[in-house]
Amino acid sequence: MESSQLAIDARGLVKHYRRGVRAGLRRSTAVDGLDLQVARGTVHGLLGPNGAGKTTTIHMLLGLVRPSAGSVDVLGGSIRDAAIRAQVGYVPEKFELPPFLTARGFLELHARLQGRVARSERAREIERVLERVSLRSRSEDPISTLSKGMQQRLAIAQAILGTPQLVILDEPTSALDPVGRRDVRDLVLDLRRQGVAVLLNSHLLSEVEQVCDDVAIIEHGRVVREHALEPQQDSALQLRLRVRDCSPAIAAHVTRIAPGVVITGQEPGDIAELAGRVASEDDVAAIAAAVIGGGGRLLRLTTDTESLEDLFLRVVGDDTSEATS
Amino acid sequence: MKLFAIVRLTLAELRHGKLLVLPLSVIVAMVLIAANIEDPELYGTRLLEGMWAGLGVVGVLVAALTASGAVSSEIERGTMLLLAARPVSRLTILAGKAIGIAIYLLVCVVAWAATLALTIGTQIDAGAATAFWGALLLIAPMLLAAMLALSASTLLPSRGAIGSTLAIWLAVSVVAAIPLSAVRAENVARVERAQEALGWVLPLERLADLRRGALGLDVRPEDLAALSVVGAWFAVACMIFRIRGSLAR
Repeated sequence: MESSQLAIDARGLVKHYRRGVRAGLRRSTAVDGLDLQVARGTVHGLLGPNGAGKTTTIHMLLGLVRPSAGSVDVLGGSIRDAAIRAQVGYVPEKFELPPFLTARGFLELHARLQGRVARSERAREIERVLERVSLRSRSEDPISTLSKGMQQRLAIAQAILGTPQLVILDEPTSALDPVGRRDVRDLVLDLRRQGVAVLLNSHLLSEVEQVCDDVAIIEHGRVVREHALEPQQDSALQLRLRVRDCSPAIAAHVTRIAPGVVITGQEPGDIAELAGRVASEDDVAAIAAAVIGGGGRLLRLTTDTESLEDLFLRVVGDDTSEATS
Repeated sequence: MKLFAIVRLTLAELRHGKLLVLPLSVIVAMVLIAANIEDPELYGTRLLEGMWAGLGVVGVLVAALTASGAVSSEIERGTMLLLAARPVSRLTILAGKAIGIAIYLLVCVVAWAATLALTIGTQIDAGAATAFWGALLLIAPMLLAAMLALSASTLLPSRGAIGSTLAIWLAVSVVAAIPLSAVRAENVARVERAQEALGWVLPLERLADLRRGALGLDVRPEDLAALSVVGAWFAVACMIFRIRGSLAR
């Protein structure tokens, strides 16, 4: 993909941190040679276990943390460029809003700092984003009186002020109830319809599955898997077979068609269980033909599409490394 | 425009913080002291100098407390992430905070100076105007303390920033207060050099001389030049904040 089509183009990102004096100034690596490309107008999910380096990666993309090595291009230029930064909206994972400002005052502050919304348009734009996150009725209330979920919606509102070209959401629904989560999903899909690129870091895999075009799974500071969620043809199928009279020749033939499908159990009466992933429905048909053609009796054949959660667990396993996030 | 927005944010934060308690209690204390001195005229300018010195100590404390969390507490709370992700330079963020803090301190000092002028100032020969202008000049050491704390705040956590600011202030004050007549003859030159060097890091004596100028004593050019050290400490803060690798916790 050409760089002009990319909203984010990060190559070889590395971030080392020095631990404190008490830890003997040990160096730890939070991000280790990470490559990430996000196309304009798409929603890209960022997945990974705790401490995988997702938040550090986001901080480097935004210029909040300086990379130890590697390069970052955002919207075709450097994030240090104020004009480019004005086109980026961001909701941090952990944040505190100024409790003494009203919701409207907070958005006015960020509209001023962003500098993209003309003064004459500012009030209307603030009304629009307040309406979009369902906070219009609380716009004059001090932030200290808003619930955590409302504050999260307000943080999202500041990120979409002036409809930027790239929005980075770091766990945007962690404090939201199911209705709030649905609203954020709708908002993300709206942004995509408007051609805005969204980078979404979320632990809620079902949420990611519903809104993302692609996901990158990060582990130990590297992208270990990139996966397209839409269209669905890339999704692997989980195949299970129950076959009577399954000769070694049949098993070998099946494995030739789909190397992932192997015998997983034997039962009395010469019944074999086979299971594994196949790349497409054509492989399923070929395996069924191979079993019947080889003289076996196909007792049962089931397929399941592999969910994002299955994929995540398969790629990441139960690794709970304590690397710095 | 962006600078002005950050100044306003800083002032709003200071106005809503708990820091107002200290400046207000100073005003109450001054009124109580003035009401309980039987004959202020008896003490004359000595009373005024004593009040200035007391206000100076509290002023430095208020300044250090105000500025020590300006950057570090924003990083600790995560509010800096939202601010720094905007198209605003780090210099603008720091300048906005410094200006906001300076305005806040100036308002405190004006309130203190007015209270002093209206209480003790009206009862002594030196007069209300002398009391007012002398107290107003406290802004110089307060700005110096604020900029020192701001520098520490760009590098250290909030508690470390306030602790290191006060420790440096105390250490310099102690060294500056060592009378050369009490020092062994072979060490006089060494202590003198140390006092001279530290006098450029924190020119406390020279700034105190500015205040004495309000009583009609001579003010030397180097006393006025000492004010430039305030700018130097702000420059140090800018430099540290600019090269700081991470604005996240």
